[in-house]
Formats: sequence, structure tokens, C-alpha cells
Amino acid sequence: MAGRRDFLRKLGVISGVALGASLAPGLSAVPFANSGPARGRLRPGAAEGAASAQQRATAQPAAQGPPKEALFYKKLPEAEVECQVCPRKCKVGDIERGYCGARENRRGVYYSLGYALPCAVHLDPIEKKPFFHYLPGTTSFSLGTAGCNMDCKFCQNWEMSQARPEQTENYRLPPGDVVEAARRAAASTVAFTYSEPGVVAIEYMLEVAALGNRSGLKTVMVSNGYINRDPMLEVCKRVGAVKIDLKGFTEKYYKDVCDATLNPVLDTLVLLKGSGVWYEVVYLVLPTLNDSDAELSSMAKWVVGELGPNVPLHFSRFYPIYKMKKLPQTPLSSLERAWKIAKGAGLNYVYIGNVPGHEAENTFCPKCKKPVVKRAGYSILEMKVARGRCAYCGYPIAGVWS
Amino acid sequence: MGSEGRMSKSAGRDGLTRREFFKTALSAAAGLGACLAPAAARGSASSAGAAKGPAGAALRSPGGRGTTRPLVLIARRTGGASDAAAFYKSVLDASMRRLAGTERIDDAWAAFFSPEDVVAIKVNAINGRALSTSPLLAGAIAQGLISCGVAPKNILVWDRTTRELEAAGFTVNFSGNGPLCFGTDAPSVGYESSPTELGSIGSCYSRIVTEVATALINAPVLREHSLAGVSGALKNNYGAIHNPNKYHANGCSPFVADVNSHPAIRRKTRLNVCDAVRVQVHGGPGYKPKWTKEFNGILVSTDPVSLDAVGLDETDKMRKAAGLRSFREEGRYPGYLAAASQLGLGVSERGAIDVVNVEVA
Repeated sequence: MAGRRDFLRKLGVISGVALGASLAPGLSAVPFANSGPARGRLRPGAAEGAASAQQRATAQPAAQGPPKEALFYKKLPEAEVECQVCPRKCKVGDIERGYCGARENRRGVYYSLGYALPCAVHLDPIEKKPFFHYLPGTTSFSLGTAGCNMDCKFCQNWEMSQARPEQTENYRLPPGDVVEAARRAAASTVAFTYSEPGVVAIEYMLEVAALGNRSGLKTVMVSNGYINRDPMLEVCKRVGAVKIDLKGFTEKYYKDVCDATLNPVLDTLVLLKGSGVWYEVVYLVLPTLNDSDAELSSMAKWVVGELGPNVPLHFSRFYPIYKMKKLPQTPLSSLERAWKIAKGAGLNYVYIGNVPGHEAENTFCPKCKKPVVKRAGYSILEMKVARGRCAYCGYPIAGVWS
Repeated sequence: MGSEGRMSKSAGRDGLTRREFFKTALSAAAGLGACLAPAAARGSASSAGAAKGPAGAALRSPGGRGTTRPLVLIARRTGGASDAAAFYKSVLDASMRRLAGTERIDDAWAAFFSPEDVVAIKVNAINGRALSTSPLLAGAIAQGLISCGVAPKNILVWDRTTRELEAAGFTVNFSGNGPLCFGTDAPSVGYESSPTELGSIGSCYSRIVTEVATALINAPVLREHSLAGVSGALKNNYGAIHNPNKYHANGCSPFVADVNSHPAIRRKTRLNVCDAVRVQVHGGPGYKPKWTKEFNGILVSTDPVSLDAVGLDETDKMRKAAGLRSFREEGRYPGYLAAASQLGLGVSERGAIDVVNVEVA
């Protein structure tokens, strides 16, 4: 495990700036800049060069000092606890863990094992989250800890999301160091992402957000939305933006593919609508599984009806991985069909993701229809939004632009 | 310091590196086909009958009994207090003789294992010293293996993590000089790089199970488990996968059965030896002294499903004595037993299992 000092030293060395001095602005100052797949920085294998997270398992969070007591749980008789962070409400016996694998009951006290132990730390464009209407063109100091309260068969980050904190190579990065590192890297935000921060890292994220807010550094959360109301309300008090992965729009899909349920996610989205926190929605399109016209149409109508027409909706392309290796990647035609259905339902900001160069990466003014943000992948090519309005016609463009 | 540091120190002190061990062990594993063929032939030719083979061997005729009914031995010592190591050895020896139908203890072990084997003994160390598999039982098993020619360096006592093994009183040993002892989390070990999907589960299995060992011994403890009902041999293999936390819904069924259906577990598990000296009958899996009863015995079988069914029965008797309702009465009878039976992992129907009580003076 890399210690805090090692981590910061690494930042300094790679940027050519000694530890303690300010990093030069720009991505090159950070070793994790413009990373490829959002993978955890996994424990190096001793015997196999291409070892996975699991092969590389040796981290011992428990050996790093007292673990962090979890928030949102209830004590039960016989030293059991009930976790109240997510809809699973895991009843966890002594020495056992919840479904997420990152929260453990030790003699009736529930602990968050991944606290301050991110296994993935990158500096990403905020567009990679993706946020297209939240501080576009900025960078986000992005981190993730092991564990997740779903088990999506298509998970791109399964080596960390489906691992336990002791099975990944972790940094020790307390909240204060996160804020400091983000500032040194000239990041505009800290993003809790890659796994399910709203559940496995909620204690960590809330503390980072509170610290960052004191100095204007916003925290954003990339989440599956499978979170109970009370913890989500706490999140909304502190974070600047939330991205929700709406995995599908049927209970069957959620059960069969994600081992979860749909309705709590919809509840979270409705809660976000009333919270004032900026949020965007991603829908990963899986061929034959969640891409029927009926399902897409139902979903789009629900979004317009319950959340309004200005919620950005991103249709992302699926690539075969994890337990979905036999499913082909999403045909472009399916993504374009989904885009048309959503636009037809009345959504103003609909995007196609994971298809660099596609026209549907751009933001168009709902009134004059001109492109107000032109993008290529995660890069901003042209920005025609001024003070939150279309530079051509003055129509307000929903979002947080500066 | 993480276990990697401890590992390096140990390897340096004892003169054999992990890499050397695994080179040795994996070499042995590579020769599995060649090694097992003569062993199996010997087993079937012997009077023992219970051959070196998978758990399914329970359906054969152990001890030359002339029946295909699985056999579960409950071995207890009737005498007074004695040295714990001697206790474990005596009840294990008696069980092995009965199981193999031989008088000589080395013959008994030789009915199941051959000198070419790399044997991994899966203990359960999650509960510290309070309620884990006794290191003395693991030691007695290792003695038995050595008696039939298995090299000490080819015996590994293991669980999920080295830290848990240490906490349970095991002496961690990375060297090649004696029975080895470390967790899946040890460097160079780890889990398989991609999940194996079996029925309801998708997990990365410990490479100890899939690559290192040619033979497995399952050495669990017997205890009540608030979610699984009872935790014995089958549940113990949750320690062989990287994501057991995903599989505790619905009384762990059919997940427990599916975990045990991995071909490596089916093919390599030769013996199940359950430490039931102290049995926790309620409030598990964490240790609760007030619910822990003295059973003073071990359960031994080649059939993990039968062993669990019998272990559950014995746990129920102790629960009744303690004023608790049975698992069935509480609606917590483990469905995974029947699921395991349906997968051909063993026999779950209590009435179809022979139970022999072995008393050691």
C-alpha cells in the first residue's frame, strides 16, 4: 500500500516539483492524468505480470489503524447490526460484512473498511464521469474505493467494485490529503466514482465534501442511486453534483443483470430533483436486454414527467466485459434509436456516449437548435454558453457552467 | 506492515522463497494426472474402498461396508481430560481407521492420499482463537498425511488471510521445511483473474484450490450461522472465493451449493474433518460464549453434504437442550443442503446417511 507521503511524493516527482511545493497546473502534473479505463490501481502481482485485483490481494486495511465507524446503521441484539445505507438493509452478524463487502460488523460496531483507502486515483476530465453540464472543461480529482452494493454483469470496473478493500492495492489518503492533492492538481472538483461511493465510501465522501466546501472545492458523486433516503439527503447537503446510472427500466433487468431493484433508484432521482443539486443520468444500452423501444420510451417518458425536460440523459455504448463477455457491443443504431426516442419524448439534452466524434456528444440550444458546446470525446472544442445562456439566442442552458 | 513484508522476512529467514514453494507446488500440480492415476488404482485395489477422489466418493463404499450410503463418523473421547493434541490425534486416527477400514493408520491415510499429492487443508480461522478450527486438529491431519508419504512441504494449511490464521493461533509458515500455513492473500497466491460462473454465483476462486493443490481437505468448525442456518463443510468454502459477501441472501441458498460445485472442489476434495469440540448453537457466526456448547468431538466424512446434515442434526439436539427451537421450527433449515444434493455433491437426506459413533477411551 502506498502511504500518504508516497502518494504525494509521487505527485511531486512526476511533476518535477518537490514535495510541498505547488504543482504546475495541467494534467501532466498528476501521474493518473487522462487514464484509460477507470481501473483501480491494483496490487502488483508477484508471479504474474497481468495479475488482476484478486491475484494481487494482500492489502490489509485493518492493519492501517483503527477503521472508521460507519454511518447509518442500527444495532441489534446478539451483536448484529442492520445497515441502513442502501435498500438492501443487510442484517450483518458479528465478524460478517454487508453485501457490498466494504462494511464489517466487529462485535456489534459497524465499520467502513475502505475509508481513506482509495484503490483508484486519477485526474479525469469532468466529461468522463460524464458531466456535460457541470463545470465543463474542468478536471476532477477522481477516486474510488473497493466494493459495491450491486453486481452488474457488465461492470467495467468489476476488479474494484466487486472486490473487498483488502483485495485491492490502496493508497492511504485521508480527507485532508484528498483536498490538498486536488488543489495541487488544479482540479475543480473531487469525484467519488468508479465503484459505489454513496454506499461504500459515504463516510469518506461526506468528510471530503465538507472539507472541500470550506474552500470552494466541490465534490461530485457518480452513483448507481441505490441508496436510502436519509443518507442521500446527507449527500445532497454536501455535494455539488450527482450522476446516476439508471441501469434499465424494468425490475426484471435490475434483478437479473444487476442483482438489485429499480424503484429505489427512481426514488433517488426524484429526491435529487427536489434537492437543488445538479444531476445527470446515464443509461448504458445493452443489446437485447434493455434496449427495446417500449422500455426506452417508458424510461424517457418517466424522466420527462418526473424529472423534467432539462435533465441530461446520456446513452452509453456497452463493451463486453466481466460476466457479459458474450454480448456484443451496442450497435450505433441502437444508441441513435434511443437518442431519437428520448428526444421525441421531450428531453432537451440527450447524448450518446462512448462513441467519440458522434454529433450527439454536442449540446444544442433547445430554442435555436445551434450547438452551444461542441465536444470530441472528453474534450471541449467550442463553448458557446455565456453566463448559463446560449450565446446565439440567450436561451438559458440548464446546468452549472462556472 | 502488510503481510507482504512478513512474508519476505519469513522467506529470507527460512531460506525458501514463496516463489520456490510455488514452483515446487505447482510442479507437483502440473504432474497431477500422472500422480493421481497410480494413487487411485491403489485406492480401489485396497480393502479400504473409499478411494482417493472427489466428494462424490462418499457414494462409494467406504470401509468395505458394501453399501453406497454415505458414512459420517462422530468421534468423541470418552476418557477424562487429556492433552488436547493427543485428543485430536486419537479421535482423528480412530475415524480414519474406521473410514478406510484398516488397522494401520498410515494405510488409512494412504487410502485417500498419495505421496505425490499437494494437499491444502482449508481451516476456518475467522473467529480468532475462540471458535476457529484448532491448529492442533490441523496438525493431526498433517501428521496423518505425512504418515502416508506426503511431503511436509506439500501440505498447506490455509484460509482467506494470513492475518486471520495468525489470530486463530496458527503458526504462519512460508518455508518449505514443514507444513506450510498462509492465506490466499499471500503474495504470489491470490484469486483467479476472472470469475467462474456456476449457477447462481460468479466468483474468483483461490488459486490454492484451482492451481496449487492436487487434493483438498475441508476442516471447518461447526456452528450456527444467523443467515446460513448452520455453517460446516459446505459453507467453509465461502473462504475460497473472493466475494462471499454477495451470497448471503435466502439462507445462502443455492449459493453455498453452487460455490461447492466448482470442478476443482468437486474433483479434489477427498476428506472433510469438522472440528466440533466446541459448537456454537446460536448467535453465530461470531463467537458468543453463552451459546457455545461442549461437544468434544469431530465429524469425519468424505461427503461434505452428509457431514453438514449430520452436524446440523447434532446442533439441533444441543439447541433443544438449550431451550432453543430447531432450525426447521425457525424456518431456517438450510436449503443449500438439498441444492447441493441435487448437484451431486453428496447426500442431504438424513435418513439416507449412515452415522457411526466412534468412542475413544
